[in-house]
Amino acid sequence: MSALTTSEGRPSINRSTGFSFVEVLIALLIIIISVVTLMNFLMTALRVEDSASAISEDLLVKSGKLEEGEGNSKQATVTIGDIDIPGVIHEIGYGKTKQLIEFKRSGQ
Amino acid sequence: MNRKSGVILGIALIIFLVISIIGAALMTVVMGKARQTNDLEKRTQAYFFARSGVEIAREYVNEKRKNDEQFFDEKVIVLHGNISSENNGELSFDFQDVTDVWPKDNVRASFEASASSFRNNEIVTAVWRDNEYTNFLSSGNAGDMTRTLAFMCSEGSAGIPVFDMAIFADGKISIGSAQKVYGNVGTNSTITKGKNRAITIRGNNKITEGDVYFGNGANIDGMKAGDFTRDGTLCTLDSNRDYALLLPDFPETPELINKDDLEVDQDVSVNADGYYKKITVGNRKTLTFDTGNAENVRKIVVDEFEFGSDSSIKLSGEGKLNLYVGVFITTGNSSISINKEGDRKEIDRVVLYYSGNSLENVDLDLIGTFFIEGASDITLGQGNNELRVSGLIIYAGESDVTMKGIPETHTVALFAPKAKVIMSGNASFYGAIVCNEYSANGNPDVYYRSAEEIFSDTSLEIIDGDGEEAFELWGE
Repeated sequence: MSALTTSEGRPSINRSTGFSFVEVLIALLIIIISVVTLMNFLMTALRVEDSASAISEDLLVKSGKLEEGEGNSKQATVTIGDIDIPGVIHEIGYGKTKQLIEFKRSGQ
Repeated sequence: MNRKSGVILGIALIIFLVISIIGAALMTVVMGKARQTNDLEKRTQAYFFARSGVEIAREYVNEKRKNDEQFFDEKVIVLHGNISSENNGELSFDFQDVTDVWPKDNVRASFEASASSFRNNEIVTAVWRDNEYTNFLSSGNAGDMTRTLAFMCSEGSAGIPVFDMAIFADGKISIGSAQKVYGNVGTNSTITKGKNRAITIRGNNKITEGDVYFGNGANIDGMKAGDFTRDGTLCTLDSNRDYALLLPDFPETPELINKDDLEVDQDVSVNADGYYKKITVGNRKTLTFDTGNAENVRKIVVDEFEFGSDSSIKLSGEGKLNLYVGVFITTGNSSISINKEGDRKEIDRVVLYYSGNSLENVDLDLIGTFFIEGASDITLGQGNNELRVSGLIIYAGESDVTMKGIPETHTVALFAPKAKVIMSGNASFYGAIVCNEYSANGNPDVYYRSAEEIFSDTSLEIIDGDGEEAFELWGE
């Protein structure tokens, strides 16, 4: 006999088959939380990737400029024992707040 | 119990697990990228620290070698410090002499082995010399990243300016009381006081339109420019000028085809290189050398060159003439002109090499370059039996070069770094003198003319004052 018919031959609904409301609710909750978290991960990843690419690109451009002596410069003297070496510290910013520095002696 | 109850939770958890795995993988990739960028930043900064180390060390070597040229010949020095923590532009570096612990033939291994002990320094640079080259190994430390550059160089030299002063002497310069000097006067001597003072100007005379240079390191404090020059300044040379080193070697006589003695008793033209035991040019006769096309250098070697009165050597063609003369033979009224109608700028058109012992009574009029190996009795001027050279005179000997009476020389660059130049009477000199010592009596005049402006570029290449070329080699 089919599970969907009574002893009298009438069709009946088995209430214990399928998923309970609580089950569906919990499953939905888990899936929603997972998806939202994944989306957050995805957004963060995209942001980090974008930022890292921008920094790398900027770094390459700015390091080339620094090699050519561009950027802010300020006078500096390196003292080694009794010898003073006058020169300039070149600073060039990259990314949002970072900077590269290099010392170059004067009078080349 | 229904077998399907709880299945959806299982599926949901599996989905959660998959999503977590995807998320974790994504984060790993992203964190890897971020770490890569971070490493790139540190590597780049480390590279600039290493370069800065080379810059600092190069200047340190230069400064040390100014006082003691051999300082680095046996030493291995390590310099280390930080440049990002500067205090109002003041940076302090330390140095260590590691000569005893780092073998000079394997500094790299020692440098790498000691890297950890210098981790706290942004810059660590080892310096040592190897033959004529200075070697640098420079590490830059940024965070946990280190980059090391190897650099090798010879600094070269700036060269010595030639003919930039009216009179330059290695030693003493004595200016006459009535002499006029228009141009700079300089000496290598650093003696500023006493009888042997480097520059003496007799009477109340002064140099006109020129500065006065004492040797590098001379103490000129308290000395007044007005005692030496009317409108110039008193200063010291930036460095010693060793012009004797610039003297070109007197060339070997080229091996040429032997020719019969040539007697010019009618105008003659020679159009081939050759070696002559003797050439005689008769009174008022002309010997023409056909120099061929512009790239050609006609070479003539003559052991004995005899000439009569008013004889001449002319050039035809577009090429140049190198004339190697063993000795000039003169009679009482001999005089010869060489390339007298030539271009006064092209002083390399004729180069006369003279290896004889004396130039006494040689009455020669030359437009070109006269390279005298060591002859004595060199007298420049307009009078009889004197040398009237318009161009460059190079004298490698040590005898005196004189200008006396009332001669007026053409524009001449006189390069005689081992000789004493003596001017007297009313002699006038237009050009630049480089000599060992200079002395003047009476009222001879010197008017500075820039050889580089007057002569063509290639004409002065025979004297190489350009210095040594710097050499640099970078590696990582």
